[in-house]
Order: sequence, then C-alpha cells, then structure tokens
Amino acid sequence: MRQTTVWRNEWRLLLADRAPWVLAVLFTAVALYGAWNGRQWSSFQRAAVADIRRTDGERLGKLDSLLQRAEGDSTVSVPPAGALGASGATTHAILDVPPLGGLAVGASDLHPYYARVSVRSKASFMATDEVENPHNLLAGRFDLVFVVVWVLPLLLIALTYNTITGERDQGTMALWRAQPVPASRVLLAKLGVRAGFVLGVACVLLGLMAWLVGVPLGDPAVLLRLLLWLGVVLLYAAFWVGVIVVVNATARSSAASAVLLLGSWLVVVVVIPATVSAVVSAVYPSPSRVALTTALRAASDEAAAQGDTAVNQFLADHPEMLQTGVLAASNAWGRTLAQQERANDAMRPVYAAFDSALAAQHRAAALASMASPAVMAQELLHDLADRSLARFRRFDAAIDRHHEAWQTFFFQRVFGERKVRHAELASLPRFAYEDRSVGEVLAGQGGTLLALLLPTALLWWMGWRRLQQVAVHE
Amino acid sequence: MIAHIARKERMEMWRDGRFRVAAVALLLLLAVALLTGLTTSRGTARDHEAAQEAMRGFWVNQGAKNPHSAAHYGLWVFKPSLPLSFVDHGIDAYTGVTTWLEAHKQNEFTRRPAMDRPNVARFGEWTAAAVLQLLVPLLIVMLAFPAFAGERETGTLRQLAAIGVPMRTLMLGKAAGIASALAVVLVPATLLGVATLWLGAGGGRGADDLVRFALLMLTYLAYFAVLLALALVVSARARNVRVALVLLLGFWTMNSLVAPRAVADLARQLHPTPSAVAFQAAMQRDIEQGLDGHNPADARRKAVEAQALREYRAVSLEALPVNFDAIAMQASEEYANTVFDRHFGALYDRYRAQNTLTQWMGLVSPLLAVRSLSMGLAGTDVEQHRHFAVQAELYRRGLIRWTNNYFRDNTLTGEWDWKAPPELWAKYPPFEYDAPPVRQSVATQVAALLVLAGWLVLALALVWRAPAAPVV
Repeated sequence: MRQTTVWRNEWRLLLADRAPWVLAVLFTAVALYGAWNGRQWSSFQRAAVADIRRTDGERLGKLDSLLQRAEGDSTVSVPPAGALGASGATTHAILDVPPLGGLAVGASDLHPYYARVSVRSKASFMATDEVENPHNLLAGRFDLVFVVVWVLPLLLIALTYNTITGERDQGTMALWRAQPVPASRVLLAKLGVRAGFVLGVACVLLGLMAWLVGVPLGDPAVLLRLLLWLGVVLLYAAFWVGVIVVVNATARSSAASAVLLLGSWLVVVVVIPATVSAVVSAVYPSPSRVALTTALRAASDEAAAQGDTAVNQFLADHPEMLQTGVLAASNAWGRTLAQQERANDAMRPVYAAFDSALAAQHRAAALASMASPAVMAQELLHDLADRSLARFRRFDAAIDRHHEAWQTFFFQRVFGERKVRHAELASLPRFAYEDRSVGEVLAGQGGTLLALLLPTALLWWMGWRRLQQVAVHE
Repeated sequence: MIAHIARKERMEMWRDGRFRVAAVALLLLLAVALLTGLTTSRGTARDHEAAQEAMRGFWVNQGAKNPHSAAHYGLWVFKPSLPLSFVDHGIDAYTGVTTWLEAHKQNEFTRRPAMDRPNVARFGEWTAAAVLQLLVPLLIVMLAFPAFAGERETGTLRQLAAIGVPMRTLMLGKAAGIASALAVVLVPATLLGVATLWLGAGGGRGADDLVRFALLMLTYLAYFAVLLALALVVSARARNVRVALVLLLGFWTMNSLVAPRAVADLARQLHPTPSAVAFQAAMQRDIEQGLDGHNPADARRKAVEAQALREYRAVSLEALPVNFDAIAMQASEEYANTVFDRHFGALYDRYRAQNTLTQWMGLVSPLLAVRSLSMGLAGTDVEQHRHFAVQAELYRRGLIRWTNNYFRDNTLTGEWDWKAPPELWAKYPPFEYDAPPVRQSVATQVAALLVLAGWLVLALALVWRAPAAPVV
C-alpha cells in the first residue's frame, strides 16, 4: 500500500467524523471573540491617542498665535520659559498602536502608552495609567494570543488524545496491522492528518483574523511579521504535537492519555509559570515602589529645606546652565527647577538601585520562563506583534531621552533668563520612538526561539521512536 | 449502608498510591501558599505602614508655611494589606497602592505592583485561593469520574443493582466516601489557615476576620460539594469512563481557565469605561463650566463673593474681617468635590456593573461566583478598593477644608505671604483606615451568593434524585 493511500484514507476517516467539525466551529468562535476583543482594544487606544493629539495641537496652536502676537506687540505677556516647559508648550510622548496590535493586547492594558513630558521630574508625569477595572486586569484579556497559547493546545488534544489508544480500545488496530504497511506509518498518518487539520484551520483562521483586526497586509514588512507570527504559532503547536505523539504512543488507555495530556497542558500553562514567578519573586524580591515614593518626598523636602544652598549647589554642579553667573532673585522658576534637580541628583542612586534590582528579577524570570513553552510562545507572539513588556521598557527609555532634551532646551532659557521666541517653537525637542525591525526582534529572541525549538525537536524524535514500538494490545 | 459504601470508596482511594501522592502534594502546596501568602501580605502591610508613618512625619514637620502651600504639599496615603489577603491576593497587584492627597484634585491611585512584575507573573499566582480554585476541583474530578462509569465497565454496578442497593444510597455513599477522602487535605489545610490567621492577624478585628474566614471556608466547601455532585452525576450518566473523564475535564478547563477571561472581556464590552484622557477631560470641563454647563467658575465665584459680603455685612472684600481667598478656594473645592463624586462614582459604578455581571455569569461557570466571593471576603476585591479610596478622599477633603478654614480665620484677603506656625500641622489627626465589616463586603456579593446557592441546590437535588444510571 502506498503512503499517499494511507494518508488519503485517514483524511476521509477524519472528514466522516463529527468531532473535527465541532472543534473547527468552536475554534472559529473563540478566534472571532479574541479578534473582536483585540480590535476593540486597538480602536479604544487609537481614539484615546487621537484625543491626546488633538488637545496637544490646540495647546500648541494657542501658544503659536500668542508668541506671534507678542513678536509685534510688546504689551502681550508671554509666560516665562519655565511655565511653558512645565505645561504651556508640552505635548505627549505617545506609543502608537502597532500595525499588528489587534492580534495581541499583551502588556498594553497595564502600562501607560503616553506621558506628557515636562521640565518637571519624571515621577510627576509618568502616572498615566489607563482607566481599567482591576478585576479585568487580573483576569487578563481574551485576545488571539490567549487563543493560541491556551486554547489551541486544548483543541489539538481534544482531537488527538485517543488516536492510538482509541484504535486499541475498539480493536481496529489488530485489523489494520494485518496489512502490509508498517504500523508507525499508519499511526503517523492518523496523527498527521488530525494535527494537520487543526493547524490548517488555525492558520487560515488566524490569517483571516489578522485581516479582520485591521492588520495592514499590503505593507511587506507587516506581512513578513505576520508570517513569522504564524510561524511561531506553528512552532508552538509543533511542540504540542510532539507531546501528543509521545503520550499517545505511551498511554495504556484513552482515559490515561486524556489525563496525561491535560496534565501536561496544566503543567506547561499554569504550574510552571506560577512556580517560576513564585520562586523568582522569593529569590529576587520586587524592590518597593512605596519606599521609592517616600524617598522622593524626603529628597524634595531636603532640597526645599536647604533653600538657596540647594540652588547654589546645583548651579555649582552645573555651571553650563547659568550664563549670567548668578541666579536673579526674581527667577522663581530657576529656583524651583534647581531645587527639583538637586532632589533628583540625590535620588539618582536610589533609582539606580531600584532599576538594577528590578532588572535582576526580570532577567531571572526570563531565564526561568524557558521552562515553559507557553510563556516563551506568548513572549514571542507579543514581541512580534509589538505588544510586549520590552516595548514599554524601550518607550520608557525613549521618554528619558526626550525628557533630557526637553529639560536642556528649557533649562537654557530658564537659567539664561530668556523668553521662548516664536521662531523657536519649530525647534522644540520632538519625541521620537521607533519600533524594532523584524530582524532586531528575531535577533533579540534568538535564545527563546531556540529554547522552544529544542524541546520540540526532542519530543518529535522521542515520539518517532515510540511510534515504532506501539503494541497492538495493552 | 451509606457508611459501608463510603468506607469502601475511601479505602479504595487510600490504597491507590496516586491519591496519596496527590493528597500530600496538594496539602504541601496549600501550606506553602498559605505561608508565603502570609509573608507577602505582612511584608506589604509593614511596607505600607512604614511609608504612611514617614509621610505623616513629613506632613507634621513641614515647618512654617502658608496653609494653602501646605494643602498643595499634601500627603500620600497607602492602602493597607488586610489580614485575610494571605488567602487570596485578589486584585491587590492590579490597583495602585497609593494616592496623593492634595488641594483641588482627587488623584487616581498609582503604582500598580503588577507593572513592575515580569511577564510570567500574569499567568497566575500560587496563592491558597489558586490551589482551592484550580487544583482541588481537579482532584475532585480525578476521584469522582470513575465512580459509576468504572463500576459499570467492570460489571460491578450490575452486581450492586442485583443485590438491591438503591441508586440513591449508592450515590450518597460514594459522595460521602470521596468527601471524606478530600477531608484528608481540607481539614489540615483549614486548621493551618486558622493558625496562619491567628499568627498574622494584628489589631482588634479578630472576630470579624474569623467570620470572614469561616465564610470563605463555607464558600469553598459549597463549591467542592457542587463539583463533587456534578462529577458523580456525569459519571453515572456517561456512556463510559472515557466520556465521563473528557466531559469533566472539559468542564474544569472552561470553568477554571477560560471563563474568567472570556467574561472579563464581555463585561468590558457591555459596560465600557472611558479612557483616562476622556475621564480627566470630562471632570475638567465640569469644574470649569459647571456640572450643567451653565454655571462657569467665574460666575460661581461672583456668587460666593456676594454671599460673603452679605454674611459679614461688608461693602468690599478688603473690608471683610476674614480672608476671602480662602473662602473662595473652599467654595471651589466644594464644587469640585461634587464633580469628583459624580465622575468617580459613575466609574466605580461601572466597575460594579462589570463585576456583578461576572458574578451572574457564575450561572454558566460557578467558579466566577466563587472567585468573586473569595476576593470579597478576603478584602481584596474592587469594592474593598473603592471603600479605601472613598475614605482617603474624605480625609483629603477634611484636610483641605481645615487648611482653608484656618487660612480664612487667621488672615485677611490677599495675605498670601502669611505663614502658619510650624506646630500647626500636627493638630490635624492622622489618617486612620477603617476596613468595612464583613456584612458590608457581603452586601456587594448578593449575585454571587445567589448563584452559588442555586448551584448547590441543583447539585443536591441531582444527587438526591440519583438519576437512574444504566447498569450496563
């Protein structure tokens, strides 16, 4: 009997069964729900961002016309540079919804995606959490990544858990083993057809969902990202196919196979991740933001109490700031900002310690997460869709750079006692953020990809070996 | 007879090495979860108490200052960690833990601990609640799925029927047997929980916490009873062991892991909340233009002016014996407060509508009702957060009113350079938070209670009716 005949036969058997169609409908339903949620969230964020841009534009427009009038009319009063840098000229640093954003909510429901950067300290403008019911944050989102990472393996398991054991239970295995075909080939065809069905349906559906959530498929770079995203889905599914083959070839009965497979799913999706976070947070406890808040207030109070001493100390540390040599008594903004920076200087080691403790915790967690393919797949899918935690860290770094440029621009004018002129509006520092290219994402996630690939290959190899030894009777 | 059947079931389970391993593992996991939960919540409590005390120190020692500057300087308050949060951390990582109380503004809570956590943390936490909500039900499924289907396949069900054992007796006996096996895990875990509570609870709210703990236990016991009954009924009706197992595992997966997310998203869609930008803009607009849009801030100020002149029988603001600036500021605070009440009230009502929907969805997935009750009783749900937020806001309003009144009574209009004596600040009492009594927490869980009670009645009825299972 030829190999293609075996596969064709299995395909017919599958189509004649009701289960695959029920599962396909179920999968379509959850994928549609996931896509809808992703789409809604993306449009919610886009609307919020459009609101922000509009009010930013209005603010800058008002300032523009005010400064223009002031050019020709000395009676028009212009706010001091400090006031403009603190609010009048400020606009938001915005992290736009990425092209593949509809595919994943990722870390974007928890982390601020805009900040109104000013000459004030960063702590004053970074608390722009989105309004959200904490109960929903706890539950997490039902997006397409959830569908892939949590639900897809369940569908694979549901369709395949008794592929081998079922044949044995019904006694049909003894029948076809009398045929002149190696048993492993038939089993492979059975598993291959079932897994292939689920994966085929998954790929077609997810591609369709990408279109539904508004991924701009015409852009080749976006299309490449989407294909890679689907590639990760396939790789993750391949891991589960490996698990399924090994368990199927080993389990004594269909019930045992179901228990083992669902147990593996529970371990990979729930037990390992929860254990990893428990162990990591025990070994590397989160530094306290509460303590940071207290330290910041202590530092500001200290700088305020020092009064002019703090101002003079700051100016001595930053001689480039002051061109006139001495801060005029009337320069209230200069005084405020110098005190603020003095407090920030005092906070720098505290922030550094906080950041390095946090970074150590996150590094350990990333390493330990390699124990769970589910966590790795989620990380890859979030990263390729530009919805990962790492993206918010990069956004944060971009805000830091912009904040520095903004402060430099306005400090020069505050301490130099110069007003902002109309012509200077065009040279206001602009916030810039660029997402990583596909190549950079892949280079950054090489280790994760490898860590997902290795157990998959190992499972496939084990599965192939075991398939050769499947017994007719238990 | 029932006792005999129960004994046989228990003995059979106990002889099965897998059960012993699972029971011990589960008990260990629960013990570890309870103890780490205690360490975490005590650590948080200490951290927050220390910060609160430090902030009070800053407030008291701010030196000679204009009262309005003091109001702008303000104060940070920190959400305490309640004694029972060691059982269920609930939403604690997903709400801000602190808010800045300052003049003119009701600030949001900031610094959500979850924001600092690594990606993997969102897959879930090992709390006692997680073990009780996920793993104990799984154990119940594993113990109960072969109860009838297995006997049918081995042919012993037919024998039992032949010697005249009524179906109901068999059902009750098996239920009692499995329940007593579960007790091996649950009784020590409960004792451990009480001990942990006793170890960790500080303050004089002991009785209230004990009631909460007892209700928590009852909630979980009711949930386990529901699951046990469902599992037994499925086992009795299913075609064979495999079908019983697959049906029960499917239900467990949907109920435990898929439903919470699916329903959270549904709740967001049905009761949407505004974006932070729109929320702030709406409040700003109402403060500037008036709640009805026809009462702008400057018109309101003119009315306050006229009233002050009338009240003090003065012809001009300069002739007032008090500081009009302080009066005007307080009036604008009062107006802003009505705006905040309307908007924050509406927002929290939206959250409540979302959460009530989640509780009702417990009709489909009972875990949703149990989760809600568990968080509510542990004091780690949204209502508890709201309760704290309201008290913090009332404290802010009192504090600002106090500074404004002091400014009004001790100065004349325009005296912005005047400074209050440094010892003044200690005179305003520190913020003390009163957690709500248990009945207040339960009041927002009515839907969850009804749903759980409904499931329990259904489950008991199913067991009592003992569907005539085919014996072959």
